[in-house]
Amino acid sequence: MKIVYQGESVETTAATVAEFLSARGVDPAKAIVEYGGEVYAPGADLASLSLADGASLDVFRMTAGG
Amino acid sequence: MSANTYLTPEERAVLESVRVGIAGAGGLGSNCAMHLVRAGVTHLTVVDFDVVNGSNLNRQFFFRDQIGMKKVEALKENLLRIDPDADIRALDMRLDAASVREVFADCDVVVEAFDVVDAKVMLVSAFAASGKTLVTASGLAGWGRSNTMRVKKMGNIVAVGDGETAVGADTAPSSPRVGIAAAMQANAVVAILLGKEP
Repeated sequence: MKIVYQGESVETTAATVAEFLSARGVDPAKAIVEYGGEVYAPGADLASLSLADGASLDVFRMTAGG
Repeated sequence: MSANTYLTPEERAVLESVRVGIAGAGGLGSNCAMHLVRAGVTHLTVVDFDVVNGSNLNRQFFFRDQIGMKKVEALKENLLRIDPDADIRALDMRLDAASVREVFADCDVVVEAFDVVDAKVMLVSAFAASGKTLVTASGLAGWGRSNTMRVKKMGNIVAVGDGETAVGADTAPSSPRVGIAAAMQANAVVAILLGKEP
């Protein structure tokens, strides 16, 4: 299926948001995630969020520095 | 009267009636506060537990003769040089999950300006479901790549930075890029307060 990730269309076989992000090296414990119009704080349970064809997923990673 | 003589009466009324909270008075927080006061925000709550040291001077809004001072006191001193009438609530304390919502309870917008990831995560988690606007920043280390810095609105959270570049051996925090992020945070805060897109 295809989803829109960070504004770009990408092909994926991942079944869940957690699986998709894991494959891209994103640690959900240190990221803000927006999926399906909902915002998930760092550490939210993303394993139960199924990916749907055409859905939009945005991530903002939290990194050291300030 | 605020420091910004370019404001319309309506803009001045807004910016002089709100309070902005800033969690952290380092590279992000000190510069963001400076921009906010110059922009016309007159009520700030600034929280930090640290003291100014020499390594801070490459990017933080402090001066050599302030080394050893508490950051919140040094920052208050500097902000009052811009606007002597500003109301700067300087809190010398370490924020944690138990205290952060109460400390910023009367703030209209909160700025996340920590440098440690765990502290950033704590603050974002505390405000994620609160409905209060939180402006956070990550991905601001190193040099160049100014065009990768962006503003992303995610519910009540406004995220600033490239969201990738952490401080590391090859990516030190430095004034230009940290300053860009701090200015973008301040710009987002003022825009939100004035009812515009961040």
